[in-house]
Parts: sequence; structure tokens; C-alpha cells
Amino acid sequence: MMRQLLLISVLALTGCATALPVKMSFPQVPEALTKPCDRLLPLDPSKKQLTDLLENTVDNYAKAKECYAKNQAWQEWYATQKQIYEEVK
Amino acid sequence: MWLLHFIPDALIVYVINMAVLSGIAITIAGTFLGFIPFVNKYKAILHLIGVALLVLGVYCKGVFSTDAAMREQVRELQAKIDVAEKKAQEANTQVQTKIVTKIVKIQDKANTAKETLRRRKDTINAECNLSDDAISAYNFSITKKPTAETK
Repeated sequence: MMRQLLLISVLALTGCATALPVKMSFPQVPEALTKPCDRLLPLDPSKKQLTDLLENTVDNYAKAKECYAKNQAWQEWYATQKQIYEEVK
Repeated sequence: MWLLHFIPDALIVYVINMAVLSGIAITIAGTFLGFIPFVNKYKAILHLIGVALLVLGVYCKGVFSTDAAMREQVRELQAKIDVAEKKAQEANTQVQTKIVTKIVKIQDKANTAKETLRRRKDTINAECNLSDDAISAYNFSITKKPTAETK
């Protein structure tokens, strides 16, 4: 009798279990944005010509521009994903 | 409640409706058909069974309706999430393409500038060599390591 009562209680309690089968996965970040910005390169002290300095400057400008572009892309990605997330609510 | 998910909805609705209708019928029979000897004999029991069936049926109908409404909401939400995940994936692809294109353009520009510098190297370097101090000061702006002069 006790066993039957226990079984009935367990079955009755399972009725309270509510499994919500809805799950939204966190959006993946584009691969290009996962890499950190390159560090600026100093000029090799053995290179004393003006063109060496200018080439180094050009390289560093390119790195800075890439970093700026990545920063803009992060902001765009965040704004887009936020909008998509808010549409679900 | 999840145990009910193994039973077809139509069957559950049918059973609940039958319980409600039987409850109503038995209650009415117990109340108004007292002139029939058989009914009159079991009037109290019929009343009890009728009301119990009616209450249970109405309760189950409410529970089932709530559960069905919740399942419908879950289905709608899941559909929205599926659309959102697809949109997020598309947005990622767009951002990825955009940033890669931008980086390629930046690198192309830098290469073009460097090519020009190499081509005109002799003219540019004609009368100019950088002193150690100039290089040191320039590097300080990049590395932030103190130079002999800034120490």
C-alpha cells in the first residue's frame, strides 16, 4: 500500500515539472573580429633612410586603419544582433 | 502534465468533453428525474457523481486549454527564434565579408604606397638620412619606451 502511495505521489509530482523546450543560442562572432588588432611596429634603428621611415609609417597607418575598421565592424555587429534579439521578444 | 503529451490531443479533448457532458446529464437526471423509481433510489449518489464529473471535467478543460495555449506560445517563440538565428547568421556573413574586403583594400593601398616609395627611393633619400635621435623619438611614439632624451 505504501509503495503504491509513493508511486502515485511521484507520478503526481512529475506533473509539476515544466520543461520549456525553447532555447536561443548566443550569436557567433565573425572570425575576422576575433583576432586582436596588430601592434604598431617601431622603426629598425639600423634603417636610417627617409623611405624606411615612410614605409614603416605606411605599415603602421594600415594597421591603425584595420583596427579602426574592426572596431566599426564590432559596433555594427552588436547593433545588428541587438536588433535581431529585440525582434524575438 | 508532460505525461499527457504522449496521448493524442483529440483523444484528451474527447474524454474531457465526455466527462463534462456526462456530468451535466447525470446532474440534471439526479435533479429533475426523481419521478423515475430507479433514479429516485440513487438520487444522492447520482448527484454526487454528476457534480464530481462536472467539476473534474471543467477543471481538466481549463488545464488542457492553458497547456495548449502555452504550447502554441512555445511554438511561436521557437519559430521566431529560428528566424532570428538565421538572420544573425546572415548578419555575421555580411559583417565578415565587409571587414575582409575593407582589410584587403587597406592592405592594397599600403602596398601601392610602399611601391611608390621604393620606386622613388633615390629621389626621396637624396639628401636625407635619419639621425639616431629622430628614429628614437619616432619609436617612442609607437612603443612608449623611454629614449635617452625622454628619460
